[in-house]
Amino acid sequence: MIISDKVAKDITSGSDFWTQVRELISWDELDNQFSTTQKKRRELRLSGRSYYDAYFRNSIKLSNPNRSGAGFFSLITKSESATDIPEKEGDLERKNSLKLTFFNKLLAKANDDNDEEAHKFLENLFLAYKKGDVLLWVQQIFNDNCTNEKIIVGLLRLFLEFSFEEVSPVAMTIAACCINHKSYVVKTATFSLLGHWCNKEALEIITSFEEPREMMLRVKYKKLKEIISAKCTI
Amino acid sequence: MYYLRRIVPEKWDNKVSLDAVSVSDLSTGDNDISVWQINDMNELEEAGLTIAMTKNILKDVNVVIMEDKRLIELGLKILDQPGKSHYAEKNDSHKNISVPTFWEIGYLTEYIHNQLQDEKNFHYFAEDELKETLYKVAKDGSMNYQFMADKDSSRLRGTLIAICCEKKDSELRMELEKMALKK
Repeated sequence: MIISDKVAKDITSGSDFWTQVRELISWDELDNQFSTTQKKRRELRLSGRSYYDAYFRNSIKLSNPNRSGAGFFSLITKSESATDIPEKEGDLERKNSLKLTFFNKLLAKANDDNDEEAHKFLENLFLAYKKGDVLLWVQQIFNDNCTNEKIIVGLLRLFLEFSFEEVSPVAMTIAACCINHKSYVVKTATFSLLGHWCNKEALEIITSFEEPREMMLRVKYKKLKEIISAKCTI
Repeated sequence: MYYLRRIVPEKWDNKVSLDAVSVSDLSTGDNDISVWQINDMNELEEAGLTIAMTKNILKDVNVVIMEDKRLIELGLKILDQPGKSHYAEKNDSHKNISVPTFWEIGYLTEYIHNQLQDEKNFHYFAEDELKETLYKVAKDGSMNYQFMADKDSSRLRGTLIAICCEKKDSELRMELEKMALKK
C-alpha cells in the first residue's frame, strides 16, 4: 500500500490520529508505507534539519508538540522522580530497558564515532516524546554518569549530529560542564561540539575557558575561538 | 610534496616517543597506512575537505603533515591506491604507505611523533572551515557533487543543502535537490 502525500505529511507532522497509529505499529512498518519519493523527501529534511527546517517552516518538526501523556514522567522511573505518580504494570521494565538501550548506544558511539545507532535512537525519541522531556531525561542520564568518561564522550559526539536548536539548552549546560573536565577526550569532544554550533553561546563557553597547555588542544582552541568570534561579529 | 594523515589527537598529544597508545592510531588490516598527497600547502584546504568527506557526516578533522623526502629516507614505500572520499575528483590523491612489518610501523610512528612536536606540522580543520570549502568547491564547479545521489551520503547532502539555505543560494540548492531526488 502506498499512502498519499497528504497522509505522509500528517504522519511526519504528528497529527493526533497518526500519533495514535504510531503507537500501534512499529517504525519499520510505518516506514514501509512511504513511497520512495516520500522517503527521499523525508530523509532530505531529516539530514539537513538545522537550516532546512527554518527554510521550510511547515515541514517536519523533530519535536512532536501534539504528543500527549505523562511527559517527562513517562521516561523516568518512580524512584528517580520521587513523585507519587503511580507506575503502570510493565512501565518500570520499559523505562529501564529504554535507558539501558541508550546507554549501550552511547558506549558504541564513544568507541566508534561512525556509529549511527545512537543518532537514530535519539531522533526517534524526539519523534515519540516532547523535546523538552527527552532532553531532561538525557540531562538526568548525564547527571547520574558525570564520572563516566565513555558515556559523556558518547553524549557529546551524539549532540554533534544535531543542531544547536534541537539539543539546547541541555547540551549547552553539558558542554559548559565538560569543558573543564580532566579527561582529554571529553575536552576535545566539547571543543568539536562548540565548533559545530559556532554561535554566540559557543563563544561564551570557549572564552570562559583558559588556553589549554596541550599542543593540539591549544591549536584547536585558538582556531575555534578565532572562527567563532569572526562569525559572531558578522 | 606532502602527505596528510588523519589522527586522533588524544593518542599523540603529550605522549612519549613510540608510545603504545600512539601506535594504536595507526592500526591496519592490510599492512597499509592511508594518507592523502598534496603538492603544496595551497592544496591543504581541499585535502582537508577530501579527508572529511570520507565519512557521511562533515565533522572537524585533525591531520599530521608529513614530508615525502623524510618518508623515503626512512625506507617507507608509498603506493598508489584510489581513495573512497565523496569528493570523487580528489580520490586519485590517496596513497598508501606500505608497512609490512612492525619495524615500518615503528619508524612511521616515531616520525609522526617527532613531526607533532612542532605545531606547524599539525593542522586542525574546523567544521565551519570545511563547510566553507565545501560550498566553494560546489559553487566553482571543482566538485561534480555526484555524491548527492548516493544512498550512503544522506547527511552530507543534507549539510550541503543546508549551507546553500544559509547562503541563500537557491539556484545551487534547487540543482542539488533535483540531483538528490533523481535516484
